[in-house]
Amino acid sequence: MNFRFISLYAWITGTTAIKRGFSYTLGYMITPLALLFLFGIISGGALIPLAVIGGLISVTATGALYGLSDAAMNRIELKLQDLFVATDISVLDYMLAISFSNLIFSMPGILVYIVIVLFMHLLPALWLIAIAPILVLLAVSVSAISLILASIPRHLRNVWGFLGILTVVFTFIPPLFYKYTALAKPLLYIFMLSPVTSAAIMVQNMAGLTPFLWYAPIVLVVETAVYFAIAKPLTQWRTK
Amino acid sequence: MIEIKGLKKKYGDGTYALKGIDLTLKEKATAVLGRNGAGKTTLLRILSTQLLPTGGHATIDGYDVVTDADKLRKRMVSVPQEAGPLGYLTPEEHIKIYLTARGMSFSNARQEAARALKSIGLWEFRDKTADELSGGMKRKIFVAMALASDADIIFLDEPTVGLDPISRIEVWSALRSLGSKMVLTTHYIEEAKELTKDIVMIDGGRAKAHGTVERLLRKSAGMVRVESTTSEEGEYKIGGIAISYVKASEAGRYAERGYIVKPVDLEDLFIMKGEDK
Ligand SMILES: Nc1ncnc2c1ncn2[C@@H]1O[C@H](COP(=O)(O)OP(=O)(O)O)[C@@H](O)[C@H]1O
Ligand SMILES: [Mg+2]
Repeated sequence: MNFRFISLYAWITGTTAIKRGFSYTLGYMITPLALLFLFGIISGGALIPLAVIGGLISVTATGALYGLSDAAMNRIELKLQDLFVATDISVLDYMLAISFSNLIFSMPGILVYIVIVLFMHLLPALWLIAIAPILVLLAVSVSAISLILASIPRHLRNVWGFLGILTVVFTFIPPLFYKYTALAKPLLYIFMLSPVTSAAIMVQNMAGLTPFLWYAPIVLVVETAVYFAIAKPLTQWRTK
Repeated sequence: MIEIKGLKKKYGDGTYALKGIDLTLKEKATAVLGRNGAGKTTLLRILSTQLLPTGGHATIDGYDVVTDADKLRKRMVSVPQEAGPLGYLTPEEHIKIYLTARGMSFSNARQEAARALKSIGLWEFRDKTADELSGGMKRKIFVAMALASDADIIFLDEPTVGLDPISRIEVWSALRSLGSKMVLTTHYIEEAKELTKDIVMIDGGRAKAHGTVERLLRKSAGMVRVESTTSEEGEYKIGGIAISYVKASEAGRYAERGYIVKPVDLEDLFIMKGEDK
């Protein structure tokens, strides 16, 4: 593992993406904030806590999904993947660098939601410590999925299409903005293939919004390990 | 030393980009010359462990480019053709990231990045983002990565495409100052001659010729090139120009008929048919 590369790449690309591309930063925040507003109005305020928790997960997952466009752009357009292939780093270093870069990029959004969470007393401040590892696992696992998928498209144009679909599949359909108990069990199990689902359930549980689901943490940890492990063989690093 | 034996590459779509290349590169610097589509990039990507061959072998200082890739990657820099910087990062940021990927410490990376940026004429632009730089300056970021590295071997795929004449001279002089072995591709004959005496010409996925400029031109010693835009007579027709290669003693006769007479140079080897190895 080349931790120097991972941290420098993540820090430089993550922080400059916020500083020098702020519209993009606002871009990923606006959808969950709009949903928060809509849900609040429609439900007369009743659904606001759920929408806040959902938004927190959503901004983290969306940032991780951007890893797909980063990796595809680096490979197809900028040839930076080739540049890095011929160095000491492995595909896992590269994947972690992109994961943490996007986690840093998601920070403004995460902070906005944490402020709302604290302001609304949805969670005690101390519990935020427990949320941090959930968000890190979520970022790494979704990034691993992003990187695997980023090896597929031959043309950059397909990447944006892909990303639009994935954003919906990862952040709208799973139980982020509604209670997981609303789902029939088989459907819940299918949705749990995405780490977004277990992460959202855990935070819903912590906020006391839904009944405790004991296996959600186990699923999240196992899935992160599995997606991380299969990313190496499934990602095309050296071209065939 | 780079040894290439029967190297082949057939891409997934059936394109046969390398049809069996045999070469031994012993000189400090080698230029691979060839027209667009000749297979230069394919060859360089295989040598720099970015692309897998479909046949044959290549070794660098005894290490196989397929099986010993990990060892080779520690020792090389490879700058892809048309590599582009991340638009919102500065030249200095790019180089520092690249150097840490090669295993350098943060403080060395900072020092070496500064040294390379100065030597290639990018120092005053170190804090501008790549989007604010011209095409040639963007290209220089990647050459600077090679300069800042302590690699034993450097692969550069068309390093000076899009550079203005002054920038090209800056890049050439920076490359000449390198202690490492270097393999570069180019379609500029002038660039090949500037940087090395060892030239490989590839065409249609095969090595057509290898050696010094003098050696490559030996076959056509005593010949001149005669060309005309009005006459139909010529061995080769390129975009309305009729070109022939004739003995120098016959040059006068052609000149009288309005032909332009030129000495034979490397570019003529692209025009002339036939194998020469
Ligand atoms: N990824 C690829 N898939 C299919 N064909 C390719 C690919 N890359 C290059 N080629 C083909 O291989 C041949 C050699 O290309 P290349 O090595 O890029 O040549 P050069 O660098 O000399 O211009 C060309 O016919 C090109 O179209
Ligand atoms: Mg090329």
